[in-house]
Amino acid sequence: MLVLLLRDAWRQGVALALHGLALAVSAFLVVLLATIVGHLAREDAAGAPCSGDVRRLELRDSSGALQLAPRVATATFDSGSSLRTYVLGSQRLVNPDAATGESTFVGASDGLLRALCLSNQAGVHNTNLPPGPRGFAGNGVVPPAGVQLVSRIQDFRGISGVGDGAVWVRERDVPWLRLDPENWDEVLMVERGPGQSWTDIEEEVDAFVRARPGLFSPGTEARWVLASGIDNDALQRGVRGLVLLGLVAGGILALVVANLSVYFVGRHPRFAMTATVLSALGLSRLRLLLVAAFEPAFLVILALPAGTWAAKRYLEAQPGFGRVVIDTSPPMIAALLLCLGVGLVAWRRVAATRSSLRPGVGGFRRLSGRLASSLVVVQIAAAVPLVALSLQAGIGWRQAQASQTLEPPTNVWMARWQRDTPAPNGELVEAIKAIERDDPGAAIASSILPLPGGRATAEEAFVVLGGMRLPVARNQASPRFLELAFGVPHARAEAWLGDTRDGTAAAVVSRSLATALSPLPARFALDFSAADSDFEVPHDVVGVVPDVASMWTGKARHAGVVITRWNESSTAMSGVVLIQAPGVPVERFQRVARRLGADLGDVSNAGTAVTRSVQAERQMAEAFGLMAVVGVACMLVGLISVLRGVEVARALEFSVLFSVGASRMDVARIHLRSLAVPAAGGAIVGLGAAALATLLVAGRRPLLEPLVAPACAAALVSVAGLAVLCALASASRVARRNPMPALRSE
Amino acid sequence: MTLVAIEATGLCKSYPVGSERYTAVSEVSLRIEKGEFVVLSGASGSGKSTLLSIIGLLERPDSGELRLDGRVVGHDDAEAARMRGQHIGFVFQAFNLVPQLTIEENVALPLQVNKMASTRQALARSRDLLDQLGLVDQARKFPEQLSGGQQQRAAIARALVTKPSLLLADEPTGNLDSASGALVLQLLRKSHAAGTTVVMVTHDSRHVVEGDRVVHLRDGRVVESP
Repeated sequence: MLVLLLRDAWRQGVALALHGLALAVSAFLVVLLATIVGHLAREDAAGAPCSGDVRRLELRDSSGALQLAPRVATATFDSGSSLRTYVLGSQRLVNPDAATGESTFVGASDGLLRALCLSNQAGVHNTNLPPGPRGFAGNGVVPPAGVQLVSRIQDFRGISGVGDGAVWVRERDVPWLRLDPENWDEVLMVERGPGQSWTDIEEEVDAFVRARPGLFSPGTEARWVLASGIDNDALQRGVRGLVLLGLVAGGILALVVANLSVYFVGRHPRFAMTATVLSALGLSRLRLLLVAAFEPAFLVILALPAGTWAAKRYLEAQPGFGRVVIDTSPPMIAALLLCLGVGLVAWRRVAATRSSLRPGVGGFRRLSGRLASSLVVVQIAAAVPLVALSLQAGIGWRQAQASQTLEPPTNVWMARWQRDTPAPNGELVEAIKAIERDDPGAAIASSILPLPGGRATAEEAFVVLGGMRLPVARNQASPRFLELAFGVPHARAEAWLGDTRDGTAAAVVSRSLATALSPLPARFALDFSAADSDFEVPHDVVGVVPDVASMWTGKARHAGVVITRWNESSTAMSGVVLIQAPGVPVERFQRVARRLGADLGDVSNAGTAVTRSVQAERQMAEAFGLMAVVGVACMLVGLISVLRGVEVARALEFSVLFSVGASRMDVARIHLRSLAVPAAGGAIVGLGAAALATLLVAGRRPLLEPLVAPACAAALVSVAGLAVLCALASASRVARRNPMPALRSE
Repeated sequence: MTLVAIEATGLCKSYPVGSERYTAVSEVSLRIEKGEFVVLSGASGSGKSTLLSIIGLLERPDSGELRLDGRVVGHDDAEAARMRGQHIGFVFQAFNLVPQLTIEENVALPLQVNKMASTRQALARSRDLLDQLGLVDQARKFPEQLSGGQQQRAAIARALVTKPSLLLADEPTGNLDSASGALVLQLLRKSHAAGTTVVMVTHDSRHVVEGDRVVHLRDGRVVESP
């Protein structure tokens, strides 16, 4: 019996190998997806940096009036609550003491402090702040006189700065939220901690409020406010991610099921002879079932561990995964159950139909036209989106490679203007102010940092520091400020201030920043060298927002640089560079950029350059590329098998057609025509899925060209091309097939 | 003067079997007049079905020449297809009705494949023919719903629907009981009486008498007597 079984397996060796390969790559994909999903889920549960973890809470009494959140926060901290609660501002900002010139900024936040710390370090990538309570002392920075900490704000990555009486808060990778200065006392930002749900937090805050009736007006309730630009975006990203994941997982599972179906449908008649002989030898039904399970089990035992092992090795080679433990996550269980179900159904059919099995029945005779069509649809529909995603990611990678000149991963768009006629800085300042006035959300505009150049007057200059725009006039700049803001040694700052009256302040600042932000000039040098030799970098970098330093580390939201053509004979600037920081929607940036360009007028050279993390794009391209390769491999195996099945199943039909007068070309044409409908159906479904998937990916990477249409078109063409090749090969076999065996079979 | 329907000269056909070749037909020369009813007889494996498939242009001989109605055929695929569609009708032992089509669709198939009639016309002619064969009630059924005899009669209808001048039958009664077989033979005789040249393959000695002439084959060669 074993010899018989082995002979049967040997005869079907090629089919076995192909389907084993398909099963292995399917297992690879399933394990890959399941592990990634599990990884993300664990990361989310652990409160690791992920979107949507910050919400804004309002406390309103029964009349709808806002209650003061700071009291909540203070008490919350005092009560030792587990909530990671952060309060922005318990009191209004104290205006700088213009009289003494000692306090150049007031109010503080951890983000601001971090920015300061970072800007003090030449190596700007060090984000490992000392452990312990955050604050000036915790960061090893002595608080300047006049600076008042609004509260003991702990490690909240979202607060970056205050300025203009407004508060800017952010959550990782989402746009800045500008809080209304009039209400800012009532703002309570809450970050969800590990294992916490928003409901838990809400209940905790409500309980706190109820327990302290003296602090709040009657009927005060905590209400979550989906702060614009924070939770909505996060929510959308989450939904998009889920849909994308569902698409990819669905496509892969469809391929798995289709391939298993092809395998089992094809194997069922192939096993017929063996089953008949064994049945005639008196094998019981149960034993026949076990024998029927021999080959699939052989396949599964070989293929599944191989695919799992490959996925594990692949994932462990990726950054951020560490040691991968193949766990029993729900997607994995579901996939395995699905495979098992398909297998059991097929085995049951084999056992149940043994009496009807007749020797000599060719493989795939039971492959119905509808099943074959469905399998063709599934194979093509599943492959198109995978290939489209791969192409989109691949092109994005090349795009990022072409534009990226700096290693730290960040998202930067750059718009540049060069004016033919130099204009005074004041014009730019006015333009920025106008944009800020009209478009308060355009944080990027407020980040622009024109410093006095040439004989610019002090009144025209200001600096943005972590979102806080501060006047930097000769009568306000202090050595302390320069020390804190730019890392200028105190003595040097004093000397510099002493020189400000003769107009060298900008040069000093420029040199300080060029030292502190060494990556920046290199970047600009590359950019400008290709575009315009008039810009001589870094010597023309006269001002840089300090927060650029933390921008490279992904901690800051926005930064701007003004490149001023140093012109001794003019008070003019000849160029502006606007940098978009991570997470700023490209539409907002473009709007500001257009506005600024329009306001400046006489722009002879405006353009944008796109840069992005090459690393992230490479990883995305690799992951999607891998999925596409195995997806296409699965599709080819499945498609070839289905087509071979169709050839066998329709052999009689084709032979009869041949016998009644159809030529070989006619038969091939009929075969191709019958494949065209399911192939077109698969292409349409696949194109829709590809468009959706690529749009979702494009939404997650707004800084690159979406490439939806070209990726979908190229994917469709390539998959359709492969399908057409398979179909032509099949048609050729059909045309060359000898009709007599089918016509003579009984 | 009698007209020659089939003239075969030195036909040879062999198939690969493992590393060797099996000779199914060897140097067969045959001449069949128009309107003749010829029975090809021989034991199983004697090459009669292969010879029939060559005569029916389903297979090409390795060597030799075949003339149908005086014209050399078999080299041009399109011409062979046209001949098969318009001048030759086939009846097989296994009926070979397309299982996905109804009986009337099966019968109409040759007319549609050869573009000899529109779909409606083809189905109408199909029903007429089935009516003549007593199968009109089964016209909308699928082959598996019919008995073997009914299927074979439907297969004969399919072979005759194009009014071929040559009817080739390969063991048409091989899968039928004696009553059904007799009915099928009666249909073949009726077709022959209508002027169709009939070539029937059988290994059943009882049916040999049906033909005007019997051609015996043994080991792929024509012999004088069985």
